[in-house]
Amino acid sequence: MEIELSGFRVAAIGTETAVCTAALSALSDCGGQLAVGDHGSAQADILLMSWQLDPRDHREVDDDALIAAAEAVLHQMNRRGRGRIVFLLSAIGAIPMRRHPRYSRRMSAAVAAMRCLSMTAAPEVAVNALGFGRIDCAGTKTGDDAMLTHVPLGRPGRLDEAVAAILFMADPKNSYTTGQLLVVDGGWSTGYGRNF
Amino acid sequence: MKCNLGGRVAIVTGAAGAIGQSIALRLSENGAAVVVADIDYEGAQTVAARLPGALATATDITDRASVEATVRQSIDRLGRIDILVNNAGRNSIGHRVSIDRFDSRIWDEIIRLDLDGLYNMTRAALPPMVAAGNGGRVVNIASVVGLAAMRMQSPFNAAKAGVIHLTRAMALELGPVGILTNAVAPGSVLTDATKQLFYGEDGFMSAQAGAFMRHIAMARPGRPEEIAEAVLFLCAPAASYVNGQVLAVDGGWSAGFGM
Repeated sequence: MEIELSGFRVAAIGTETAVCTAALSALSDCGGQLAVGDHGSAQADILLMSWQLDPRDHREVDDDALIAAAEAVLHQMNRRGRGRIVFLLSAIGAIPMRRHPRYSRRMSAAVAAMRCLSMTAAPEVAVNALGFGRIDCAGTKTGDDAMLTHVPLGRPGRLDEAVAAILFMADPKNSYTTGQLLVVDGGWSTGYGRNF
Repeated sequence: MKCNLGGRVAIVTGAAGAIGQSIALRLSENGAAVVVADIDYEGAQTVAARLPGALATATDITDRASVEATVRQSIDRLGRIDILVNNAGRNSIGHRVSIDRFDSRIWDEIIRLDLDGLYNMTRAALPPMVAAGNGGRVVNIASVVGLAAMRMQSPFNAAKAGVIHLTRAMALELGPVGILTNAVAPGSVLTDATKQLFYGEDGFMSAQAGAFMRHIAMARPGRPEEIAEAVLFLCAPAASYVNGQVLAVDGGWSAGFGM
């Protein structure tokens, strides 16, 4: 899958994850110019907002500061008249998960913030989110192993499958989608998929 | 976006209409052989003539014999079915009244087309897809009103909410055989029908169009090709872990209260 990003600057803020790193690489391969540092983020046309994707990752993160940083970048995007902000979240943002009350709250709050930002950002800037289920990444994983008992596809996702969805949300041709959470979880959050 | 759908066959219903032909075009541009299925056979032929290797069929999705014939023609002429885009559907245009006054004949027509018709087409197309064992994709075109109800169009609300939940049930049932089912829920899209209703100068509700646009973050109706882009993604080989999702392509209409 290819998208055309020549002339677009790309940056990420938040937690470093394998999904975000792979996405930046793919966006660069599509012609995006990687922008680094605070100044780079401010100039970004495509901003990835990267959250912890493992619910057992309890590192302290100031989510409010992350949203505030996104608002600042959004202001710059609005001045330039174009931009994309893509939140990289967990599928737990779509449906809370037992054993992860704080993480469920964080993810659903991030979805609400994304929707709110999308209304501020329009019409020139689109803001969307991806919610990843259990994805196998090089040496790491997203989500919770327990998800796999309810995934209709019967397997975890792959890093390239996570990245494909990020490319779609970053694609300038995807120009009428904003304020949406697209879940990439093989159907985990779809319903009750277990046979009895 | 670009992806490789070479060697794949896609049935698109309602493909003579504005959104349907945009979907057919994007799938074809990315290598799929498209079955341009529509009750308007002449319109289907016109669209198919622009697409390399396409097949036009006269398809009435409310008629089970008709959808079975479409599936037979697809297999006979193109050899297989990999993708089904259930796009055919309609809303009422002139008849916008509340449920206590809604005409039962129009109710029946809309449910029969938008919900039963989608089932008929799906029921006919799935057996050869499952039997082939190649997996596949089903994309149902729902509507944002299936997610957030709107006044004066009760059967359309009910049918599209039904399509959305059917999409989820299909994802659970078909995921294990590698057929991924998702839905695109368009917001208001600029088509001949919405011009008659809102966006044309003589539209039935054109006086309300400005107020309506204030609820849409992007402050404009969508274009058919913007809906097609989302469908293309859900059909792309790379979108192989997206299943049971309903993606609203609505300019932010359903994101929240934006006034």
